[in-house]
Amino acid sequence: MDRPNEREFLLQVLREIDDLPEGLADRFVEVVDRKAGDRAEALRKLFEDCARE
Amino acid sequence: MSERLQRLVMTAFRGVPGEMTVDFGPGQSIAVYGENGTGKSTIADALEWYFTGQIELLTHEGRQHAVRNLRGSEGPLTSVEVATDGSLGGKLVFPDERRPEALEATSRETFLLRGRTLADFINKTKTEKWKALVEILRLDAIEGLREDLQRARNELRKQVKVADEQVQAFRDALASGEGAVSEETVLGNIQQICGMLAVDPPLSLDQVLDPQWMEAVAGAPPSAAGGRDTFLAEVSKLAAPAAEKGPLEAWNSLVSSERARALPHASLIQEAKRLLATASIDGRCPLCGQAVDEKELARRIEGSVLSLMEATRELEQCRDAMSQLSGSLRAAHERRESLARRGKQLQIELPPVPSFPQAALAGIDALAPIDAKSIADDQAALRKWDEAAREIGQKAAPSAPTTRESQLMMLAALCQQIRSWRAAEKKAAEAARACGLAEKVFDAYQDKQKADVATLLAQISLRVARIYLALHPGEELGSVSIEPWTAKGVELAIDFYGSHQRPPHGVLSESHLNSLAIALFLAMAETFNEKLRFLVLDDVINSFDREHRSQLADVLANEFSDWQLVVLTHDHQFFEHLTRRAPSWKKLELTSWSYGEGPRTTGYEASGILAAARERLESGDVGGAAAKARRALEEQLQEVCQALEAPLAFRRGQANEMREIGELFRGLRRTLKEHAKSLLDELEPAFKTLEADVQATLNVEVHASRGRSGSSEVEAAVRRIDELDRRWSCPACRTRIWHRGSPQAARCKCGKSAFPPVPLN
Repeated sequence: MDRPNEREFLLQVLREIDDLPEGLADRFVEVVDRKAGDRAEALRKLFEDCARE
Repeated sequence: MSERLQRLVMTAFRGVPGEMTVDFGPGQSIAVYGENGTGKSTIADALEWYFTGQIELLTHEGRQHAVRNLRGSEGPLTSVEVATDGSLGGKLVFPDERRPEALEATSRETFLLRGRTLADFINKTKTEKWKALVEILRLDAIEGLREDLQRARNELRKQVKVADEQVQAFRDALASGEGAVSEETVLGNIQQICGMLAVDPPLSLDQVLDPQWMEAVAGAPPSAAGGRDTFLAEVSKLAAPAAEKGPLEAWNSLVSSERARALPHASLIQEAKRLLATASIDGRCPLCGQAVDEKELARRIEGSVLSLMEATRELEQCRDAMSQLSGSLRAAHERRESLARRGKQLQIELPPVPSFPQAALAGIDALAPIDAKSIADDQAALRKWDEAAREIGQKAAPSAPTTRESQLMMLAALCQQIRSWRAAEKKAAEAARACGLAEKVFDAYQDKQKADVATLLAQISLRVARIYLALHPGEELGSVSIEPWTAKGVELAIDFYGSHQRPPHGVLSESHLNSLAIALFLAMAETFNEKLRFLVLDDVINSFDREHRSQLADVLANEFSDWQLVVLTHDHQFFEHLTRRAPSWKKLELTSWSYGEGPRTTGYEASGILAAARERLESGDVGGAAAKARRALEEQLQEVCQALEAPLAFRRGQANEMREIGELFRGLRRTLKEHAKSLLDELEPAFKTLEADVQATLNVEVHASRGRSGSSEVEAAVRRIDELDRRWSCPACRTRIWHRGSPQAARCKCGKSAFPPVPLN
């Protein structure tokens, strides 16, 4: 049975969302691929950066 | 590729003090029968430990060290060796030092179901079921990212709340009254303060937020008329201009005199004087033509001119005085109007300033008399206004003792508040945007996760329902399913005589719930296993009646024929039914377990144990080789005694397995003496030598006390045991058939040899 990893799953989700800021998917992938550190905190900062742009 | 088991070797592991091998052939299914306590579950334990890195029951009890056999410290290293038809095989030695990621491929697979934990999944809470499912489906990475997204979103929600509260706090601080604050009201306040400071008010809040604007305001010199205290000082010193009667009366007298009336003709007289000086008039007036005395005319014109010039000078003097009076009155009015306006900005309401007596003073330009009463009335009105303004000023003064510095500080503080307010609003707007984005991504992520899980659950449900129906054919139960329950929960459900039951505990018996657990286990393995193609079911039928045990045996034999099944049971009827339904399966019967020897099986392994003794010798383990050799001889004698029906004293249960080698030799001698005397004579020397070996060379205690090896002696003993073993086997195929039926049956595998070599009478 095909079971995607969280990276592929997230990309599938982001592709289905309209009017996302350009390049957000790539930046999400960077955060998800990063193994070290607090991922939730990194995601929060990513959302904040997008909101400021 | 999913892999099958081929061999399992347990050494000093759990209930196995020495070594125990389970042979699965090329990957065949196997049914293992044994009474309670004969060591069946050790097989399941070994596979669980090897493929998951733990034995859950021991881990749960905090007894991971119990992986070792109790005699482990005296004997060989604890190990489990697994051979598969793929790459997952290997040897695991205690303690297990593999990293978790090394087990990731197999530890999540569904391969082991135990009777004692059969209903664990069924009885879990909805959330626990969800977690278990997430682990099995390997959704934990996806679930982990969902949780991180949720944490990020929740944090942003908190930030939005805090930012909104800060904005509201700034709004409250800026609101002067109960009304809602707006940019207009704040700007109005700033403008009012600027009025107090007598500086140019700002046109917008953006201008206020410019630090240079505040610097300019702070650096502006205070106006002479600015400031509340200055204003009040001015009001207290007000005095209406004095209007002396003399100049006014002189003006009125002058403009009412004949001379003044002639003043309009002054230019005509001046022109007449010029004409007389430049032209002859010949005794007649050049204007009217009447006869005139030229000298007399000239004298009269000159007189008039002089009179008019004097009157003009007097008039100018009076007019200057009147202009001065008018100017002072106008200035007094304008000053009071200015004070009234400033007072309004300072929130000090002064009375209306009396009207300037414009009409009364119009006579100055018209050379007309001025109404002295109007002027006097105006002066009185101004004095009255001054008095009222002073009273208002005196009342206002004590309540507002502000200074320019404090006003500037107030303005600076207000500007700072406005900046902070604007910054807080900006921050709140950004937080709201960030939170909105996080909500959007999180919602979409969770929705997709829910949808995907629902699809997965539907697939599993179909398989569970199929297996459950096969276990309970003919029962009028509806479909079984696994259904999502809120965001992070799943629950089992069943349609029970038209009623949807979720969970099914209220309507299903214990055995039905157990059937459901087995169906779920098998469906999970079928659906999701990728690496392991074998399933271990350890005593899972305890609560089943005879009929349902048969149903399970049929389901395993029919529905899972393409799987390798390791079915451990203490129920002999189930074992028999299963092996009849699946004749290709291997069979293993455990007869007993002892502390010293571990599990014993009905199968004889003399040659295998002898091979192990040789391996020990090669590795220098003489004591171990001696123990193995002794065990091989014991195994061989038991096999022969059983086959020849040697008369041994009856013993019940495990004691039957504890017979000493001497007792076995005695029984064998008696049988051969009775039925094959010549064979006994032939073998007797070998028997005696082997009995001596057992007493000395193969005596483990002797080896231990000697403290040194006697490898050549042990090697010779091993050779002798092997030679005796050959006497019971076909020289061609090394197999033997112990059946005592027809002559055809009593043959070896190749058919060239019969046994016994000397037929039994």
